[in-house]
Amino acid sequence: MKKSFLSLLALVLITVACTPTDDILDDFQVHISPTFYKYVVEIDVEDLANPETPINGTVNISITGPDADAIYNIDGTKNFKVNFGTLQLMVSKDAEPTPSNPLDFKVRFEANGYKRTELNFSIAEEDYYIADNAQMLNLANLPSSIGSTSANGGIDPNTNQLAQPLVVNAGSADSLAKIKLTVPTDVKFLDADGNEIVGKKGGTGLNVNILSLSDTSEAAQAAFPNGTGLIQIVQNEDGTIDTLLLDHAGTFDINMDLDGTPVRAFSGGKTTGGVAARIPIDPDATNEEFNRAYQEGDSVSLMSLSEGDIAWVEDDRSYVVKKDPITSELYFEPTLEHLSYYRRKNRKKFKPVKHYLGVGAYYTPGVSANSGSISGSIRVTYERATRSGRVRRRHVRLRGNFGPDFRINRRKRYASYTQDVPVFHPTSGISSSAFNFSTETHTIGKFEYTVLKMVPKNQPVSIGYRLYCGSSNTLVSPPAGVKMYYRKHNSGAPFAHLYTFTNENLSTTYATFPALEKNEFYDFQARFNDVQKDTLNVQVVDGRVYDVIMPNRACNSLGL
Amino acid sequence: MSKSILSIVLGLVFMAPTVAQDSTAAKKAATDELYPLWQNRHAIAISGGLPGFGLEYAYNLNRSLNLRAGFLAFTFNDFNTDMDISGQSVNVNANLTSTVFDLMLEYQPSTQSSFKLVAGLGYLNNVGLNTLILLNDDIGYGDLVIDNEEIGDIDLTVSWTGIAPYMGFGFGRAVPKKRVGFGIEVGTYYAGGPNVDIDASGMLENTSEEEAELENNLASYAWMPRLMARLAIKL
Repeated sequence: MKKSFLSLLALVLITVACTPTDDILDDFQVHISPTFYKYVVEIDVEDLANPETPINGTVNISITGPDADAIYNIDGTKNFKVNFGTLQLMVSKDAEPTPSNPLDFKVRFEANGYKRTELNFSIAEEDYYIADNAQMLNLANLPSSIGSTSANGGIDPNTNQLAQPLVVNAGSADSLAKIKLTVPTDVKFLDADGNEIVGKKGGTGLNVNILSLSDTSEAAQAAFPNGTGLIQIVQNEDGTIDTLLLDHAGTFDINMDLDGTPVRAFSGGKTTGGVAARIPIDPDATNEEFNRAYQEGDSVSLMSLSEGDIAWVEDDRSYVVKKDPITSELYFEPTLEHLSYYRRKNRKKFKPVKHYLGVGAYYTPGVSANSGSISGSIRVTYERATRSGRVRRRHVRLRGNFGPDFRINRRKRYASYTQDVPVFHPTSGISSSAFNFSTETHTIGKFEYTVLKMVPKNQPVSIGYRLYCGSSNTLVSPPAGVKMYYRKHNSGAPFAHLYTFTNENLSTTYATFPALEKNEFYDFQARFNDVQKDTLNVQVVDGRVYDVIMPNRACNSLGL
Repeated sequence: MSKSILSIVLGLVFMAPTVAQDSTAAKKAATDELYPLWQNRHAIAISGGLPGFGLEYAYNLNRSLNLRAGFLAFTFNDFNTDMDISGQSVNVNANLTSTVFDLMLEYQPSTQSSFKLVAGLGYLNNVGLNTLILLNDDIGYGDLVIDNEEIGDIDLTVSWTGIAPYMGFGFGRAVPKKRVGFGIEVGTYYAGGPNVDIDASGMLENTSEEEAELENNLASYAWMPRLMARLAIKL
């Protein structure tokens, strides 16, 4: 009996010491946070006159500038492509900006039938996410505030000069920006290196194109160089640089080529190597020096921006305002010695007071946890009534993620000769149906900021996203640059931008979304580079984390 | 007649203890004759096996019970190998440690056999396995190369710590009858589910969130086997 009991005990001990093996890695998932890049630049490429209209044809993109080598397409290649209307760029980790060394580069967009668009970027340390718009002007579909005029003159092959004077009358359809250019026969044409351009046998001759911007409309302002609208960098007389919110004046982009070789300057000519221009002055324009309309005998000057230059430069000369005896039109006659953008400014010696202004925005949900940020675009307008009663608006745009601190959100600052009050117009996902808006004033240094405060009307829902790669059972935190879009299920509405993941929120499990309603059903769309993934009919539950199953191609690109 | 029967019964009754005493004394004498050295009750032993190698001290309480205390330890460091996980070549560096302090009671049902049942308590001091997993190769992302150090590594530790009851059986007395004795023992600790610690770095950092999941998956690994051989020397 005792022996039997002992044997049974021994058997039990052996059995319990050998536990059956479970699947140890069952439901165990590797988490990956793609932190091999931090800085993302996102540029929506759109038709300047009709942003909802896609660009016809292929948009060719090139990156230039001192730090161009550090810039890659979001997929880590040098094949820069617009996908879903957006160009996404990233900075390689070994070339990130440092406190004293921002990254400077230029992005050029070219497409057949569109004016070339260039945007300048300067990425400072911790500017992890910069969003902007590249608005391309369709030369076959110009708004009334923009005019494009072309002309051609034959070249005498013996002299490399015009066989006959070439007169070009150009202007915007609304007649608020007009110019008359007269190219004399005794002018020689110089290239970018200052060398005389020699005409070719059977060549096309001198081709002239003038883009006239009345800049009274947002579209015309969007056509300004560098894509920054009326916010332009201006070099002062003493050599210092200001970022200036320009006042209204007709602006002209004058381009010439001789048999395909771009003309940059002139030599010879009766008026010391120049091309004569006649620029009318808008009757509604104000002479800021005397706070009245312009009169015959007043003085004005010119400022220009040449290709490759960073800042507008003030002309050395002032010009007398004349009056046409027949039409009573006021005008001035500058001499153009080189080709670039041109616009009228105050006379050289008049230095109006500069006001240092800025605009910004921030989002505060009113709850302490998971405040996160919201993505969107905000238009700001400075409005002023002219003497005739017309309202002239200067437009500024803010775009990006807006968190609780406006100082680290996208903001803009500039000097201005006038101190109009800005009006905010949130768009693109930040609507008055979901938010209460108010403005505040903050001073940073010499700049006085007007800041838009955005508070959701209802307590926003907090949800999180993860990307799931089934082939490797791996969860991936959305890398910087992943954009989320949404629409109400069965609404038939187009997808609207909801959120963009950036390096600042990669470690955030939840974010708040005032645009979403709790327990409602939505369709979501994730976009990254050329990958798009729809997840339909999802109920939004506060506090839930959603796993979006990624296509194998997207996972393979991450080595998963 | 009845007086005679009563006398005989009474006599038998009073004689029984005398007879029993005589039997117990005889047995003791026989046992003493067989095991003259049990009068020395202390012994030390060296032991080896699972979960380690070590030393013991034993004290014989009586012919059936021995009390022993021991220390076992084992370390195996830097086991290095390459493996393929989900198509990725990874390097695995493993370290195994075991430190156990025991207090056991042996029960021998028969003095004529060295079979024993053992029960007691062990203190497990971080008994477990540590592995460091690192990708062998860099990963390409477009024209960029992400080196494996930037990807990061996963440092995984599975360990048992604390007091664990033990039971087992074997052969061989803790305090041998003769000068030297050999024994074997099989048993198991009940250690409870292990603690899991995941320390991940680089891009894998958030894998640390899977600690609870892995701990849950390993919860059934509560029994820790023990298989020992020992050589005891009576003092």
